[in-house]
Amino acid sequence: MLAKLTWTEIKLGLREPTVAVFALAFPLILLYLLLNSFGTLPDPDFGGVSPADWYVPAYAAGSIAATGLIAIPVHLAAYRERGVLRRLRASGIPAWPVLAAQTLVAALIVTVGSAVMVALGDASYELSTPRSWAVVATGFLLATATFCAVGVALASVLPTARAAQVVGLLLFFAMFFISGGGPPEPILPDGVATTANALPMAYAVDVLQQGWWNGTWDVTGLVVQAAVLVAATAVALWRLRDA
Amino acid sequence: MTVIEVEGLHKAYGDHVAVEDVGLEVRAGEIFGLLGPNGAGKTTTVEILQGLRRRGRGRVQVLGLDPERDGDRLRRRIGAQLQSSALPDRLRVGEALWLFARGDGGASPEGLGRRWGLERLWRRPFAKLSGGEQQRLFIALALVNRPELVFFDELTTGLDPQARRATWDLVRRVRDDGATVVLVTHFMEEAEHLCDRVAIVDQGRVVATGTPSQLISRGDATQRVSFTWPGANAAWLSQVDGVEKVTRRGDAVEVAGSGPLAVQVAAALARRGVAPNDYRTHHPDLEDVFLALTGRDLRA
Repeated sequence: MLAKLTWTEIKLGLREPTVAVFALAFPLILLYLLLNSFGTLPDPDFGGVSPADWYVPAYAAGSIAATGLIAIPVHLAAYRERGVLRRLRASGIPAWPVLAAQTLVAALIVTVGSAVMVALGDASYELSTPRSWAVVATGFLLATATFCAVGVALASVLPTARAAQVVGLLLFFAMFFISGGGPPEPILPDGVATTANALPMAYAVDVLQQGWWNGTWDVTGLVVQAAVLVAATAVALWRLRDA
Repeated sequence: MTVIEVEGLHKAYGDHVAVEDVGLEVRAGEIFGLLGPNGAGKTTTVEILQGLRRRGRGRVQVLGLDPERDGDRLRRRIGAQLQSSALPDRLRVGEALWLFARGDGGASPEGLGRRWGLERLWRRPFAKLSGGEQQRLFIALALVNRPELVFFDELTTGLDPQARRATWDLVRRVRDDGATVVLVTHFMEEAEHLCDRVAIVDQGRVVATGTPSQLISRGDATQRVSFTWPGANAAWLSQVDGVEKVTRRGDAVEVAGSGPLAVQVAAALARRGVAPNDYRTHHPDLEDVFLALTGRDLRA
């Protein structure tokens, strides 16, 4: 059933790609503009790494956040609002494989998006090879799971697709530009950096960057994301038990 | 054999009582109708029967299972068309049937498509289907896993009379294939034509249960006969057995009452040598029964 639902979601996504294209194209275009502005040399403002080494992991996390916070809630809230989830449940298809299929499709989208960003950085902007593929892959999977869970939780709390869209966009932009997508952390004012550290995207960025540059595990980042993942999953399960 | 047993079912949302006290018994192989006005608690009741909502109080058994405890197991054996539900706009008819088919001994999606006249629409997206086509797809989806029991909730609402009659034929075919059907409707005509037995629901209670003809002949509902008689005085008619009211408008006489009214009045007229050639009887329908039972008009 999960395979069928996932295949169906992929087909539906290809027929109406607007939201997915936004989640893919928005970070990619910004990344391209930033890399063109800052050149390729290591820079103390970027903590001593090259702009590509700073921004590619940060934008991979950004595309994960965009997919989790915008694409998933809009899609699922529309399903809930229009009675699609009830329709499926009445026919013996419970909510969880529907949500799992969404998460798998989201993982596919962010993998494609991140691969394109890595290819761009590698081709023209002297992106270095990650020191530890294991840390980067773990960070990528954990961030995907965490933001998808937050997206599902949002969809389970918000009554309509429109509400989900507004709240998702607000949350995304609130954290994106201060969590690695805008000016690098070393040059952020203290208050802004503190705010960023209260939001989950900064932790996803930390894990990916530390793994990429040094091959080390950023334990705080892993723990915070795992905690958000558990909390969001609990909210979603509780809210959707009768969906 | 009993397929559904409900006793003392009660469901409230905060202060709002949706279902006050519902008791039902649905037998295998019948089309059972839940008939009542909007807001009577019909949809809430069938959603509880499918395990889609928790009940407040009461005993519920469907196919020998408790829908609240064994919801997933139960829903693999039932089929459903819900009142307010939809599919993703761009999902195509063929894909929907493929997605819903479990493939464990159920009907093949293609076979069902042929049977319900959906082959022509196979590649059409859900959003581009007409109301009647959507309902046909929902019926096919409800049947795709060969359910023992099927729920249809306001299946024909929003359809034109022709599509409605075509849909009735489809529902009869479902029953003739061996499934038990529970049909929720607020159309008297639908219940009368389609259902083997009907429960009349009003304000969260079942007020009467029986075959349509049993309900109609219970005698609660008023029967009427009318004819033209230029005679001077018709007051003697009110002495006839079962007559409750005699009305005259010019030469037109209308007699209202209960029991075998038409026969009694005809016999009384014959004894007096009166033989009107436009003697007509008006049989009550379920609409009159509803009015008699609840004191309210179903359409109100």
